[in-house]
This record gives sequence, C-alpha cells and structure tokens, in this order.
Amino acid sequence: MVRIVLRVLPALLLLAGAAHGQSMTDPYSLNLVSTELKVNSSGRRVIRSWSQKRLVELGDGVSVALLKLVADSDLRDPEKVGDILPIIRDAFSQPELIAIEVDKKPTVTVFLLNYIRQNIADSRTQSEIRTTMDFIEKKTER
Amino acid sequence: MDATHNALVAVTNGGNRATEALLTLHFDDGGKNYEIEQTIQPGEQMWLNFADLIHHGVPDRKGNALPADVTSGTYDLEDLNPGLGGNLIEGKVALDKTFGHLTYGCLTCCGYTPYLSPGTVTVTVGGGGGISTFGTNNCTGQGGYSLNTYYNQTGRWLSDNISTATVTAYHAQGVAAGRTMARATATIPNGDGGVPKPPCRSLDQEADAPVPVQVPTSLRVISSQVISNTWIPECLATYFGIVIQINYQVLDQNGANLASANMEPQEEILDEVFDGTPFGNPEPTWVDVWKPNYPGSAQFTSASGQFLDAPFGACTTSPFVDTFTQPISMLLNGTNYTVRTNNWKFSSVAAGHGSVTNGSDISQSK
Repeated sequence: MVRIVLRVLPALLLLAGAAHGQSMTDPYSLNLVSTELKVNSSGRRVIRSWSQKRLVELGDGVSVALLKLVADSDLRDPEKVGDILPIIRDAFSQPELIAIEVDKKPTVTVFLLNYIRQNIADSRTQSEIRTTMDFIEKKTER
Repeated sequence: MDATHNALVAVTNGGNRATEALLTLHFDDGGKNYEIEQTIQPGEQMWLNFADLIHHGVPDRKGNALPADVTSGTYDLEDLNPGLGGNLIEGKVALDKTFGHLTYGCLTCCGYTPYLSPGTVTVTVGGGGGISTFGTNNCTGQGGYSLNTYYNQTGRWLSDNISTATVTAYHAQGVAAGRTMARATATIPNGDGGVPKPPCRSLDQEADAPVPVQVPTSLRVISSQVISNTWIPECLATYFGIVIQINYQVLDQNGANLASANMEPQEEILDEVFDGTPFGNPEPTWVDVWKPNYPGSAQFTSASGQFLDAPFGACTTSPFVDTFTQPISMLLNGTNYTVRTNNWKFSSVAAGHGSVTNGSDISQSK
C-alpha cells in the first residue's frame, strides 16, 4: 500500500501545488500547518483566529501540507492522527472561503484519510476518521 | 414695462464663430427667473421684445412664462461658449411711448477669477487626485463656472515641488510625504463689468491649491470590545480564552486621519510562544487582516480610513498563555507601510474566561 501511495502522491502533490498559487516562498502553507501541528498536540485543541482564517482557505491543500510534514509512522499513531483530524476539519469548515477552486474538492484529503484508516486498528480513531470524512463530504457536496 | 413703456434687447455675435447666448430676466425682486437661450451665428442678432413676451405668454427654455403683471426687473447675459471665438454685444432700447425718450447700453465683460476644486488636493503616496477648474464671475460674485474651455486651450500646470507631488492637467500625483502647491495658469477673460469693452480682454490668470501628500504612519484604536468565542469556527463558548473586535483609524505622518479607502490592512504573526514553547513565526509574510464572514470586516479600509480586526482571539480546551507580536501594515499602491506592532498576551485560567492585552492601549477580559 505504501508503494502505491508513493507512486500516486507525486502526481497529486504536483496537481495541488501547481494550482495553489499562494506564497512563492511557502506555496504549500507548510509554515501554517506545521505550527498548527505543534500547537494542537497530545489531545489539546487550540484555536487562534490568525491561523484559523488561513486554515479555512486551504481546503484540500491542508492534506498536501500534512503529507509533506507528517512522517508515515505518525500516520499510524492514533494519538498523532487524533491531532491531525481537527486541522483537516478546520480546513473544510467554510468551503466558500477556500482560496483555490481545485482545493474545494477533497481529492487528496479522501486519499489521505483512506490511507490512515487502512493502517490504524484503533476503533475510536476509525470512528473519528469516519466522522471527519462525513463532515468533509457534507461540506463539499454541491 | 407698462402701457407706456417697452424694452427691446438686441444681442449681436460680433465674433467669427457661432455661440450660445443665455439671457436671464430676474423679476419679483430677484426671486424668479425667465431664461432665453439661443444660438447666434457670427454677425447675427437675437432680438427680444419684453412686452411681446409678456403679452403672448411665451414660455422660456424651462417652459415658464412671464406673469402678465410684471413691469420691471433686471437681466444678465451670458455667453455659454466663452473663448470659442464668439463675442456677444448687447444693445438695449428702453422706449417711453409718451415722451419719446430712449436709452441704450452695451454688454459688459465680466470675466472670471479662476480657482481650483477641491480647494485642497489631498493625495496619498503613489495615489492620485483629480483637479477641476472653475471661475467666479467678477460681476455677480457667483462661482461654479467651468473654465475647462480656457484650460484645455491654454492651460499650464505645475507643482512647486515635484519630489512631493507632480501636477499635470487636472491631476495631482503623490510622490512622497509632504506638502506642495498645485498651480494652474490659463488665458481667461478678466473684465470686471465696470465698463463696456467687447470683445472681452483676456489675461493669464493663475489658480492655486495646496497638495498635502499623506503616508500611512500609525494606527489609533477607536474601540475594542469582547465578542463571542463562536465568531471563530470550532471555538466553543465554554473554551478557555477570549475573542475581541478592534476598530482602528489609520493616521498620516502628522497624526491626522488618513481618509482613504485604498489601503489594504495586512499583518504578520511573529515570535509566538505558547505555554513557554516557542513556535517561531506562524505568519512570516504580510497577509490580509480581514475575515470575510465577519460583519463590518473588509479587505480595504473604509472611506474614512478605518478598519476592523475581528474576530481576533484564541481559545483552547485548557488553561494557557500565548504571546506573540503582530506587525500591522497598510498595503497602498503596491507598498506595505508598517503602522503598528502589537505585543500581544492572551491568557486564561478558567473555562469561559480569558484576558488579552497589547501592553498599551488595548486590554480586555471576560
């Protein structure tokens, strides 16, 4: 499965990255998502207005950043995944504010969530992933 | 005018091009007007017989007729195409049918004193402002006469200091903070109405207007207030923390309000330390302050140079202390002008409560 991910991801990243068109120095918003990962750790939920209003503009771009920032081993860690899921939800919480049209479709995010779900046995995390997928599906349905 | 008196007016175009003449009769102690407008070819005349106009109830250009009981009044004559080559000469004959007495007169040249509008042409650095040319009638003292005809033909525009602002026809362009003077000269009729002197004499006349050039320099806090946590998505009312709304006014280099709707408020978030752990610079480059879904929040300042930073705050599921700096800039004509740096401290020790301060002019708690 990891091999498949590694083969497909470059194409997805290229697609998303090319369309993103944000800061030339940080086209994938790695700085923003990285800080969110650090602040939201060990089950603590932290929401700051200045980062939240950037996060809601990312949409599917958040998963591109997560794939670049999070190690594969962390994607199998229920606690780390528990910290990631709220960040993904934030990025799709106001789909009308997503800056890049292509990021309004959760292509990379669904791919990422399916990958995580297939590599985690923890039932509670499985349930949170399912809830997150339902949330995104509801937010992005037209 | 009455049963024994009449008045005839002949207006001649003594110039070499057709022009529009407007004769306005003022009656009822100047409270009412009767206006006749007519094109007069070179060498031709417009004749008016006031007794006939009254007797036949002839409507003027606005559809109004002279009342039958009008016996006296004053009138003035205006060339609606001044400076285009027509020259109006007026002859007036007052007839006394009993004694055969008559008088006559000629058109006087009133001329204009030019002025610029607005009287002060305030612009921002890199921004422009329009300038209009008007004249005050030297006879009546009435302003508002467009002098574009003269300025289009003979206008010369300049700035006293082009390193502060440049001035071209009908336009001032800010270059750097400061103050200069716009000067506009044109050849304009300058008669004072005192004596008949057709054709009107013209002289070079100058109109001036100061041009202050403003640059965004600082912010004044107009107000700050606590708002609901729930203005931030996913932030529950029961969480630890606080959310506020701040209303700022942009000030110029002299501390005066900078009233421009062309400024885009932007911010950086630097040197964040959350519960003692440094997180670096969450927003190391300028990004917009505005939040699309918040009422009153906008991408650009209002016409008076104000803007909202809202919702602004932090909330968590546990007690916390969060410090960071927030430089704020105005993006104006492609340049960011830093106008303030807030040193924020957010903290909370109990659910549903929190406090925030920038250490100077903003402090709120709940």
